[in-house]
Amino acid sequence: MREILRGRAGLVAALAAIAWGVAGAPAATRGIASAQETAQETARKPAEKSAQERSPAREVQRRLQAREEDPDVLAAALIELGPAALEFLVDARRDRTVLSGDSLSRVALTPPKLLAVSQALAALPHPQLVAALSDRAARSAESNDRRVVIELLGELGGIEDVELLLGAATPPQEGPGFDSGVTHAVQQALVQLFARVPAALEPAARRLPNLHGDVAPALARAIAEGRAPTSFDLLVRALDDTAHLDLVVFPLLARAEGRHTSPKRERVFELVRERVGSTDPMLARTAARLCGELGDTQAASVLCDALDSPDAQLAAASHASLKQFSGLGFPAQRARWKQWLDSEEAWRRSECEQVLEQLRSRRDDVVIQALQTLAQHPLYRDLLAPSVAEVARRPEPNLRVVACTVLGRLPSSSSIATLSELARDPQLNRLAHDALRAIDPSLIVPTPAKRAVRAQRK
Amino acid sequence: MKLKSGSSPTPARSERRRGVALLSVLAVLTGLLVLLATFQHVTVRRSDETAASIDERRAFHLAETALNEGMIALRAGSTGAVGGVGAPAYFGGGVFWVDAVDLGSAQTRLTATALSGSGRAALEAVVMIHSPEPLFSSVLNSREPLQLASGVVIDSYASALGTYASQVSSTYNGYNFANDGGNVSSNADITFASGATVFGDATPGPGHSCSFSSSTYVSGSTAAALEPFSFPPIRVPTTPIVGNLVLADGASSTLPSGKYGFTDVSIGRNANLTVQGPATIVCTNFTGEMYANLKIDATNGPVTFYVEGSYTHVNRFEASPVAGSPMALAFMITAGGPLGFPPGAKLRGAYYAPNADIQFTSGIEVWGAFAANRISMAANTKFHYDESLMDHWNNQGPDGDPLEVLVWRRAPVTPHALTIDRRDPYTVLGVERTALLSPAESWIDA
Repeated sequence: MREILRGRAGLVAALAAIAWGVAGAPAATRGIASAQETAQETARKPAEKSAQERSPAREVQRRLQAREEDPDVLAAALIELGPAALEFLVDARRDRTVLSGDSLSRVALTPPKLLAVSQALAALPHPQLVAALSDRAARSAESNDRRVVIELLGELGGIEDVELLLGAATPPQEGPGFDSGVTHAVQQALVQLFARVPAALEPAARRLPNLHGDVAPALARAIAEGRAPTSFDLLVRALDDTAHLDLVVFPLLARAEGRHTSPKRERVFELVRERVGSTDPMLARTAARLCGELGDTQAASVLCDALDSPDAQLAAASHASLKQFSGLGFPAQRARWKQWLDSEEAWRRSECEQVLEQLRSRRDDVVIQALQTLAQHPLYRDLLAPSVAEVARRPEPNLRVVACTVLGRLPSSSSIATLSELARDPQLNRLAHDALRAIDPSLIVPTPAKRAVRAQRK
Repeated sequence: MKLKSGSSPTPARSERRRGVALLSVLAVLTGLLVLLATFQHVTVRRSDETAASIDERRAFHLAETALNEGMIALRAGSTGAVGGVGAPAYFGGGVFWVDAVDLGSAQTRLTATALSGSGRAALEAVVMIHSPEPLFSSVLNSREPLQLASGVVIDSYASALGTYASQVSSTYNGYNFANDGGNVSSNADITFASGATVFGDATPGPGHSCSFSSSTYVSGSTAAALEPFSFPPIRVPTTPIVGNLVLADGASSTLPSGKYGFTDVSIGRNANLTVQGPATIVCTNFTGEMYANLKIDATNGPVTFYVEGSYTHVNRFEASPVAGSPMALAFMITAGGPLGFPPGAKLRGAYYAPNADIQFTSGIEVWGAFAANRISMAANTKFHYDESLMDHWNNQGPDGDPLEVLVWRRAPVTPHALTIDRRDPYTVLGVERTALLSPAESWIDA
């Protein structure tokens, strides 16, 4: 090609020489220079075109338009392009489309192709990837750009990238905030990151009190969902640091891992009880409902009073919690619940001690009678459960069965250890599981066989 | 003598001949008798067969009647079971009963067994009862988790009673609002960014919950739903396609009430299309161009657009009611993928897009309802649920019938002994004809 072009240039030069002879040397000189430039330009254009055709953008586009659907093969083809393709791969991941051959329309990427893009991004050098994502987050406040940065950091980032992730999720101070889908992406990304790098949980949780109002709830939810043994304590620490997270953190406490064993449990109960009287209606309602979900029976009196609240939703939340404690279905009338509470208090003062004493009897019928009496007083579950658990450890099989059943009727965190132990006994396995389920359904870990069946169903 | 002797052999031969004739006659008579007997046997058999066939046919038609009776019972809220093998229902000279098995997911298997004379027949159908819940009972309803962006405010009004502005009468925490029926729901979690305010209920899916941020507010309940919303697939009515409905720029046109089928519906720039309800418009693509206006006259009924292809909402396209009409407009969009609205759009009416992901960009204000796979929004979007929408679109089966037949087939008669013992049904079942109840009296309620 070049030879041909050179040949053409030579022809033009010869013509120029004739023109020089005809029109004079200056014009001919200009002609030769012009011809040489034209020749060079003509020679450059195909080279540029060829380079453009081989540009990473075109290559990414071309390879993602191929009929190949095997993610591994496609990923290998994309990895070949190296770091130069990084930006374009991120674009493809963000848009979930690529430009079509005519560059006028876009073609949706199939799930295998999206997977290949993710695989190719994961194979790129981590520092370069993080630098590119950081750059993208800095130069664009567009929601979809942020979403892709957040998603990729969740999938590929490490403990040192948490800060970048939180930063990318923070909307700019000026201008419109992010699309609400970004909040969901942040939460999902953090859950993924915590699952891969559990050590990232602690430093991330420390940032909770200082985060943007839209990012902190997503992080708090991710901590709760992360199911780390320290989730409850990490969330409680955030409550200690700042009061404005109460509404964010409260609903999460009821399902955060470690809530049954945390040393901060009692203090949280106190705080939540106090918040039932908050002037913020949302906080009061959330606290009232949390009392029931955490099984704080000491809140019964506060909840009874809240039944008369002018806020119907607070009354409804308090009623739901009272029903949850007691297993009773009285209407939402303060007088009725107060009457029940007073009678329970009277029983505790006058009879409780005597019934607990009967548990030590050598006569089975006396012990069973006492157990049945205790089962009717779930309000004092934390007080009664340890004594019932002692009976459950006695050698008499019939007493163990009844005690195990009663532990389910008096769901208390203090019984978890005993019930877990009893669950290993083939005779008590089912009853112990039922009792554990009554305390907290998440305490029942499905067997591998059940997990396989659930997975198959999914 | 000679003669006598000469004729002596004649009588003997004649006697022999007479015997032969008798034999022949007997043979013929016997043959005739056999033939007659055969004919009679064939005739009786044919008659029996005909009778049996008639009984079988009667039993089949009776089983169909029984199945219909079960369906009527289901529609009326009963279990669908009618009578039983021990106490069948009497109808048209035969007896029948219907067994109903709840298969879950609103599906029921009905097995109708009918006996008429010697005829026996059984039919089986699996039917689905579509609960007549309103399709648009929430301003936002998503299958996936719903995230309310910061500063979002949601309330409700009724377009049948006038404009939104005329109904704003309350104030809470600095927000002016009309009614507190601005419900939001999702089949998964609902999360509130800071300042998101809902004057209504926030109902997450079964087993899911609401998560709040600082300064969020929900005036109503935040309890989880007992059942997820089914997001029924869109049943596009079969309507002949007659071409395109394209309004040129600046043009005006009115579409009287009725059913229409178009390939493309396009309202050009500054064009006005008035649709008089009740109207059903099926189209492949819908485009509302800049400054175009879709005017809805739903005084006599709602207007429903079924969009099977793309829905394009260009900036500043608006739909609005004519004076005195409720804004009873719904777009049923079957396509999946993203469905975006331009920044600053003013959206009125209902959008049902169970496969689409709806994205509200910044500055949008909504007076209506949206149900979609996923819904996301920019901060400070305003939503006003139109309570009038609840009156028009229900989650029902085709043609408004809440009952949909999914499977229909012949089934083996059970108990099997009934197919062997072909005696009179009353004898076989051991029941008194006069003691049997009518089908309607034999419904078995839950």
